Amino acid sequence: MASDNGSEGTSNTLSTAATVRTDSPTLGASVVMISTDDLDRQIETLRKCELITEQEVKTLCAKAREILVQEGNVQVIDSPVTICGDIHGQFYDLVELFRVGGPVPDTNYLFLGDFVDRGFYSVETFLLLLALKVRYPDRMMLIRGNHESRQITQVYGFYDECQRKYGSAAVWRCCTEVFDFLSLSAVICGKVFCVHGGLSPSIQTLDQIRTIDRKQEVPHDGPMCDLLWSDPEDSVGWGMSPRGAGYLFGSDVSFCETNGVEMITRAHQLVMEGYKYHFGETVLTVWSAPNYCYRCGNVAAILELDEQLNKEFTIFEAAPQENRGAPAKKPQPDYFLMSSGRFIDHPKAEKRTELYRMYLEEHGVLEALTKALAKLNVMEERPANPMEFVVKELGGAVPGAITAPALEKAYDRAMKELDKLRKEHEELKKEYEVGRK
Amino acid sequence: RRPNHRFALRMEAEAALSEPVMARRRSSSVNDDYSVQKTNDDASQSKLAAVKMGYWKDEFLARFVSMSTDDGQLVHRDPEISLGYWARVTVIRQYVDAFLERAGPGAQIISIGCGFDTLFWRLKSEGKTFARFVEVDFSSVTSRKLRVIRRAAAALGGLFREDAQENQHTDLHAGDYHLVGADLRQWAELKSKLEAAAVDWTAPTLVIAECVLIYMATSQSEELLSHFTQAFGNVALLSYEQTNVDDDFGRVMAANLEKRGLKLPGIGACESIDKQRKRLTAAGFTHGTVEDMHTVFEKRLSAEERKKVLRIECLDELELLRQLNEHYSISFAVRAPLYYNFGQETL
Repeated sequence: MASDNGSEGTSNTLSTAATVRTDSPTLGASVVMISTDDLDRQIETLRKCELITEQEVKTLCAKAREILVQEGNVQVIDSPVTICGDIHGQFYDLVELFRVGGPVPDTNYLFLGDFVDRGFYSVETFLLLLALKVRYPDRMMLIRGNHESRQITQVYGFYDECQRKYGSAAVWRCCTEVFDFLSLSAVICGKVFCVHGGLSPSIQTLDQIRTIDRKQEVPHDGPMCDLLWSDPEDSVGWGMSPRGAGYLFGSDVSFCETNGVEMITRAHQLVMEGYKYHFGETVLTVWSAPNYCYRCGNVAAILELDEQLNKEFTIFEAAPQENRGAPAKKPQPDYFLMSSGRFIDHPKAEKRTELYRMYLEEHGVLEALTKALAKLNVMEERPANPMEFVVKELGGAVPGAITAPALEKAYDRAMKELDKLRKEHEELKKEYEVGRK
Repeated sequence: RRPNHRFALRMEAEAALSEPVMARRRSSSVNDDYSVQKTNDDASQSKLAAVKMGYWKDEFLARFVSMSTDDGQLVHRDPEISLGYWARVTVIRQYVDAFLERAGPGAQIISIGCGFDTLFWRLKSEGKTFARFVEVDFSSVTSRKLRVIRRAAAALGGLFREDAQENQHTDLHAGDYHLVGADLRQWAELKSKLEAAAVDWTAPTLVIAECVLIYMATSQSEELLSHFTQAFGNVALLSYEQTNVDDDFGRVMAANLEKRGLKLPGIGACESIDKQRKRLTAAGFTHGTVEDMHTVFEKRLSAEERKKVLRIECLDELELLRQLNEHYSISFAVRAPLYYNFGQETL
């Protein structure tokens, strides 16, 4: 598979010092060194869905930028190649994808973007793809999706995940800088145009794409935004996109004729059946995140193009539950009004404690105790017998309980009653005496 | 007293059981009620997350729900979830407003499985009046709600028509607001609690069931609804719950929830809009509509409001919202004869 970058990772140390033009503002004239051993070790770690260190991330990202900066806005790719759509942090399904599509570097891959967000393992997913890119730069091609953006990743989970897993935003910042360097599109054997979203009313030719300055955050509008946001629609001409960015393009858009390509392959839209043709077979959507959001129940697809550009689709489902890693790692997919279910994941002891706490709370025990102790705390002069005080307070909290004041009251009443009876008795006695006389 | 006693027994029983036995028992007993009660937390937090983002106004919800999760993060939901909750809250409000207008000041609303819903306060703060608003849920939920109301006496209690009278830490009566703890599957218990709330069996009554019926067996929900149509002279039902679940989405949902220990015993009635209609007619309702929330979202709610909420966060995949909405429905059913006519079609 030919590409603009001619080096292969065969030597012990991957360095492109001789050929690299480091135009990247952050690197200046320096060259980043990672040994293949280190890289292989990092890949092994990531393959197990484990994290590499923050420092390793920084070095990996710097190296990736060196490689990506040499790629054009329209990457030239040879067949055979396997094209993959959105992954969205579904790490175990990416593993499944490699299982059905073949391992890198035996299979050449082109990923159409949206590596992060929504899934629970965006970090491990993106870093694995990046590490594979650095290790096998000619076998692994990555182009940018609309989720490879600072703004979007703060809404859809990648930013939060980086915070959670690394304790700071440093890794997120590194990764978003890499996003800026990702190519925008690719052409396979001059025949298949590949982009994440779709077409732009401001772009008629591939050359126009090449003139875009892509090394920036995805803009809110304009050609670079459109390439990552647009959708095909069953109509004619250009329409407003309900997504709020990009456009809808119809069957009559003449991009293919103008540029001598036979097909546009893109991703960006959930397809329940994994892949879907539009406008006959001019436009193809490939979607590679099975059971998207762990909720949609869809299948995924990858498209294998052989040397002659013959097409073969492979459909695959979400990786089975047993292969999806420890339950402690993941939160649950959302529905409307469903259990948070967190209690289920707690070990037995914690759950018993939680039930016990609830039981106490429901019966007002915790509240009564807290009140009594708080009262004692703020008293200017505390009683000599605090235990007696607390018991008295608690006694008052239970209606109908036998307490000292209650007993006192009862005693008073009894004494009054006794008095009354005594008086009555005296009167009756007198009457009787009188009657007897 | 009975619910408390039962709970204490459960506690003892749980403590005595060994782990493998506990795991086997999970499917049938105490854990189901517990996890159902916990769904209130999830919905409340989802609603609060949406309110905080500006999807709709609710100045009362924050009193009942915390904005942070257990691990100290701020609660946030994906945009399609917030949009779905917006549609749900808005359509329910639409029906309630229409009902109140027709039924007049003698109107009566019974919200079953109310959780930490704030509808009463939202209505009162906007100047709406009605004879009474009765909220019903498990006593473990009502006792928590009650404590919040007690603590926020001015903000919440201030909107009651009368001073609040509490009963056994689970019930509260305040003239036009009543909160009672009851198991909806036990009609005798529920009836006695409704009587304690001074319910008028002849007044025009709206029963609201927001994601409630699916948590009991279909036979039990049919029974409950039948009791309502028989006991009340003028009754309408507003029910929001799942629908069209006999597909991959529904199967994945059932599997996901089962992993959390949450069963949906009433899912059989949610197979299709048609089946939901059948349950309503079996329970004694004669007229009404059952619509999926995608239709509601696209056609029944204010287009202006819809545009506004879609702009709050840009939803990256509209298909996700459509898929969710297509699997939820809103039913409004009435039992004729009624002296107010909603012009509903026959069920």
